[in-house]
Amino acid sequence: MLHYAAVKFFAPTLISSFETSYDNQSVYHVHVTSDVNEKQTGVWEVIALSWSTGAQLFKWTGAAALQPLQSLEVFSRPTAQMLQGIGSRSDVVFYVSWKGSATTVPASSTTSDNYYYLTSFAEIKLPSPVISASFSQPSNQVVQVTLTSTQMAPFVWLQTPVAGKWSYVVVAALWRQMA
Amino acid sequence: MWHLTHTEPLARTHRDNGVLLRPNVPMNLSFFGTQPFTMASFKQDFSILTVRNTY
Repeated sequence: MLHYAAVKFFAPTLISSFETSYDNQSVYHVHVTSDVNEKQTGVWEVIALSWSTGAQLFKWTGAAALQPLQSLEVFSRPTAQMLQGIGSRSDVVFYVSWKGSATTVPASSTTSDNYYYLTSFAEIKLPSPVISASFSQPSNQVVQVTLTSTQMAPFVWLQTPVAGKWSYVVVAALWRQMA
Repeated sequence: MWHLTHTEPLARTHRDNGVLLRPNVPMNLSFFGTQPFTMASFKQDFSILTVRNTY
């Protein structure tokens, strides 16, 4: 499975987030890191999703410009302030995404997304999902799978006996769905 | 530094990395075979795995 993760952590542009803790206050930080050798501009989003319903509870967004090979903090805020009126740490997961553009590289090189889990999964109450799949075969070497779930369902993996590789454009799909 | 030679070659990998599905938000994925294949062979042992039991 490592190579699928490797694709992500070697991606030309990465959005990532973490928390720092100082004086009993946790602060949530979001960075965008660019290995692209030219300037890129784009829009970042932080979306608080409900574990129990999947609903978007709150969204923070903004624009940023990254110089070539720059890592930039695009957002930081006390976590308690972000969660105010939304719920507890075990109620919410943060989805972060970056949609950038540059002159000579494809959009896939300037797009990134990630999740930030505020608690361990042992503390999250997840309803049982019913996951279904539909299929289409545009060519004799490609199958497109559309997955739907009735509940939030992390760590869903697909398996087939056919030799090949999986690819997906989750970021693009989510951006369309959340627009 | 990870050494990618220690992992399965891409062409022999049958699983997608885990994704997080949201309720009623369809997610599109593509599978690219190394050779031509039929939909029947693809679906014969197709399965959806989760780690839900370990939550």
